[in-house]
Amino acid sequence: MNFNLDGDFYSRNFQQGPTENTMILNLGPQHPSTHGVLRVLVEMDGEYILRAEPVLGYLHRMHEKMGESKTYNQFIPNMGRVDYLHALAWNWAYVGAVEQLMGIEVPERAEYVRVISCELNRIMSHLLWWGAYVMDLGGFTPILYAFDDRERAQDLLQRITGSRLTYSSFRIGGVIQDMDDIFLDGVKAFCARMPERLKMYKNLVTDNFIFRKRCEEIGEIPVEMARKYGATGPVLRGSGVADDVRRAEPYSIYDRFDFSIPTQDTTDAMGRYLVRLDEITQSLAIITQAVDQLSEGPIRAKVPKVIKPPKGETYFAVEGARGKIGVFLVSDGSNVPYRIKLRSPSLSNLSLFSECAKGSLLADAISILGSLDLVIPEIDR
Amino acid sequence: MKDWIPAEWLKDVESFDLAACKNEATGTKWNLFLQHQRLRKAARALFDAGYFLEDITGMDGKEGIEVIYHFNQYEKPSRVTLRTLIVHENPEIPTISDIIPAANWHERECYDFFGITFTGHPNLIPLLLPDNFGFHPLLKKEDKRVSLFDSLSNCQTIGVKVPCVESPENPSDKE
Repeated sequence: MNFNLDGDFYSRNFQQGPTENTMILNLGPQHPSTHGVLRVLVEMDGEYILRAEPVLGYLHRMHEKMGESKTYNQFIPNMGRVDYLHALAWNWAYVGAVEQLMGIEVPERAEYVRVISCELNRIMSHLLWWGAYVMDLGGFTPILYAFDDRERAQDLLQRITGSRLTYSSFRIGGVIQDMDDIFLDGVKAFCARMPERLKMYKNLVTDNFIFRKRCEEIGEIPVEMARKYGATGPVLRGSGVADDVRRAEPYSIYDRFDFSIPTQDTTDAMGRYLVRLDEITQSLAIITQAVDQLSEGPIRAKVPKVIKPPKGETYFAVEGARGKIGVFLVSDGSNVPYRIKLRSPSLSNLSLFSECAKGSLLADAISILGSLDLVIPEIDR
Repeated sequence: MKDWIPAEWLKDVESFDLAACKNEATGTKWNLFLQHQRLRKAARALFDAGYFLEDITGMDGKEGIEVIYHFNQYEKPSRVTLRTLIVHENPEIPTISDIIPAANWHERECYDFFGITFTGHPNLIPLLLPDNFGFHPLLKKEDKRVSLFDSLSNCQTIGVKVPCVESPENPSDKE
């Protein structure tokens, strides 16, 4: 049997000509620490990375083309599959863009349903990231604790969305199902339980000496580097910029809640870790306030059966668990979008990896990749 | 007029049109229509003024392919959109990836989807599509294309043509 040892197009492009004293290493696409199918080509000098280049596209599904061939309502399920960990934020970005284009006013109750479910989803996303990141660094137990809590939140969301992972429960003009008392009681119980759990997380992992050694002063991203690569979300906030779409361009009813935007000035992987854990606390605060403010009312606005936005374009951004999710939507007046562009935060966050990982140990690069909180289907779309 | 795009960089850039947009309807504050040769200057000026690049995308239409650059600022919503037009026969435009590294991948994505060649790009290989894909999926058939100006209905064209003189006046004073 003949093996072609020249590599494929990307590795040949990466390694132009023979190398001396360095080694080209192909990390992924099937590698447990890449959480899916991310492939990174690295040139190593001993244990140190000279340069790195992520190779994308293994999970590319061309959502933007699908958007141009489906009607507005038919495209909603796609959004739950772009980022399976924070699906509701993508739901929101899309329906929000259509609503902005058509000038639809969403009923107040529906906004609360959206806020509560979206924040629950954010907590779930951060919990999974937390477990998976610690597992990347060699600690297997914490992910099981994280899944314990995640399961509880999933059970809750299943009640009002009907699914456990790829949520697509938002509709243009509202949501598919109202919250009932069982759900609200469950949410209250979840919010009451989580602070204790977060304390346990801190004792178990955050204060762990070995863990801190793997995170502190590793993968430092100065603000200028973050801006150069358009990083958003916890990656940016871990560099000390208090930028959050929920505060910067308040959409929906986020201006009614009292919450802070956690930041860390250390700019390293530990900073990003702490920001995400603090965000869980802030999301819990938003949910608690939303449940208190709740009032009765309809959950769907009156929208035409066939969605035909007027000619025009819009850009709608929401804050996802990984950063700024943007949908650029252009309508030509027909029942199918003319152009739909999905701005994925993970793509921008990953693009700084090459520069960030330069000169670091390979084992630290795994820590950096984990601290960026990548979701591959969202990068590849 | 407050919230004007930074006047100090606007004077470096000659745009052939400037449009103010209803922010709540379009999510964009300013649309700036640029000639190719002004693009790099505009990107540099925006970047120096503290903006970051959100994304680069294209849109296929009757007049050609519109290349759209979304810029924004941290901590306050002020999306500025740069737009240039390239013809179908010769889809070429200068790269801005040496000014803003974030553009590197976004330009590669546009190269995949629209076949736009960004001249000067250091590594213009497919990003998301396979290397032998053969066609550009987001280009539309000729009868499906609509006019690119249709989508700008929520924008009010101001049409400031900033002249390239030694000391141009601050446009915010004119308002």
